Amino acid sequence: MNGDPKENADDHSTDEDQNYLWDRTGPPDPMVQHLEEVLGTLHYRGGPPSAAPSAPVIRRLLPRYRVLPFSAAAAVVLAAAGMWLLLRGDGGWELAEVVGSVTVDSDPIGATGRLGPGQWLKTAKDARVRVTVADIGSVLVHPESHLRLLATRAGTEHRLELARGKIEAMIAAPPRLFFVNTPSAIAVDLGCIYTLEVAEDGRGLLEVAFGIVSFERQERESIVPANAACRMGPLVGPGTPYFTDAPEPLKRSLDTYDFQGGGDEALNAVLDQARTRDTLTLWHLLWRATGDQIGRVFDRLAALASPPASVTRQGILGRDQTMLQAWWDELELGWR
Amino acid sequence: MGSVGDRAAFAGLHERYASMVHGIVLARVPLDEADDLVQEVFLIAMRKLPTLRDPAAIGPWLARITRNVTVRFHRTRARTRRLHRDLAANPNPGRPGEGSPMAEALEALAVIGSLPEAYRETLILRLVEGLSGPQIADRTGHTPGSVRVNLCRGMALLKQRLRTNTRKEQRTHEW
Repeated sequence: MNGDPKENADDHSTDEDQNYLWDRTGPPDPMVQHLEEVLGTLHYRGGPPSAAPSAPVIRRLLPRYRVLPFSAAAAVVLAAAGMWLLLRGDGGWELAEVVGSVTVDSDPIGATGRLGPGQWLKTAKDARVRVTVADIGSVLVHPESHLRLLATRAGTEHRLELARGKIEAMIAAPPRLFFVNTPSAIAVDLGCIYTLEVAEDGRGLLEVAFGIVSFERQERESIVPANAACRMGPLVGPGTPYFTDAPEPLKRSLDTYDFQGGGDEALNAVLDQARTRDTLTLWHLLWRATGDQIGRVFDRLAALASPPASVTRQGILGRDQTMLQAWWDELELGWR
Repeated sequence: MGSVGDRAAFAGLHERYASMVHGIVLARVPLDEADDLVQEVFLIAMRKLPTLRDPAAIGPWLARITRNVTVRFHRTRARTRRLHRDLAANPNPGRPGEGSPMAEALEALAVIGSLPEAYRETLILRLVEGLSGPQIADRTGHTPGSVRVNLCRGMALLKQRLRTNTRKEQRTHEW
């Protein structure tokens, strides 16, 4: 807005009155002073983020239990056929901090290199390399890993395919800009630092250190916050997330439930072992459980963390998305 | 993050601009979301800093990143937007008691939230973050003239709406 800076068509205060508002010179305006005192209590008090911040920036999410625009099945097709790639824009990503033998399309690289769209990067035993992901972060590639750059389009999409091995991703970007396809699921970055490991048979593990990752395959989605992990399998896709400090018997029973058709016995064991903090796991089980299992999961979850007033047992048994979101919002506060 | 020197420089950047970023965020998102988004802005800035062409324009550059982050925040939210005015209009058991300083602050914030965006942002930077008009102009890159106009007109409108709210409350009590 330009124009006479001293215009005050909507107010009868004088120029002198407005000086206090402008730069605190002149006689104080009582109303302005009062608002300064009252509103000043809300001023920012935080500190700068560190490279590995301890306070996660967790985004508020509504779980999306619908078919995703880019499914794991499509990712597998692209990877298997080496088909057309979603390419445009940048020529590739820089490679640095090279240790040991690292190749790009079977050509060894020196101290630095570049990974172009469609190219495969391989690290030998005891080798590692850091990949700069456009201008949004980096990925540390561990030994014996095999990955390919699928797409890199500034502001739209950056996508890797991890065929096997382990990566640590540190991404500072808006959500749903960075993706990692694996044989069993897609890790969708929502602003975070995480480790993703994939074995030859497509089984794997996602561990989130900071932020939050959505782990997806078709209609199955696991939302994995900081200090939590989630397994994946070739037939199931993403498993049920759990906090890494959960009791080992709970993790074993969860593994059986998710990937070995564990049924009631495994589910009951998970419910018995669950602590208050394991409401992350139980919330996801509300979606995974079938038949009367859902009621048991609800009862156990409600015993550990009372649902908000807007949430009813009947609604949850009917998988009311608004209620599930409301309960997630409440539970999430306790996970931070 | 680069060298220790880079970290120290970045800390200085945060010290100078965190209030501006918070104020811009607060003009657009609910109070309880603001701190997270401020952190996100600075994480993005950390990564993008090497791409900044003109270091002298870092304030407006950061302001643009901040506004973009708030736009994305609203795009990714699927639930109904909760603006400050809803918080003030719908007290619930978890809210500060009526008449408490925090309640008054939230109510004032709600009224500011009902103002046009240009007034909203400038008033929050002035009244919440404590920046003077010249500081607001310097950090955001807006001209001093436009900042002064926004402050003056915004404050006039704010006073008017606060007076209207006070009269409504008085009539309610009379009933």
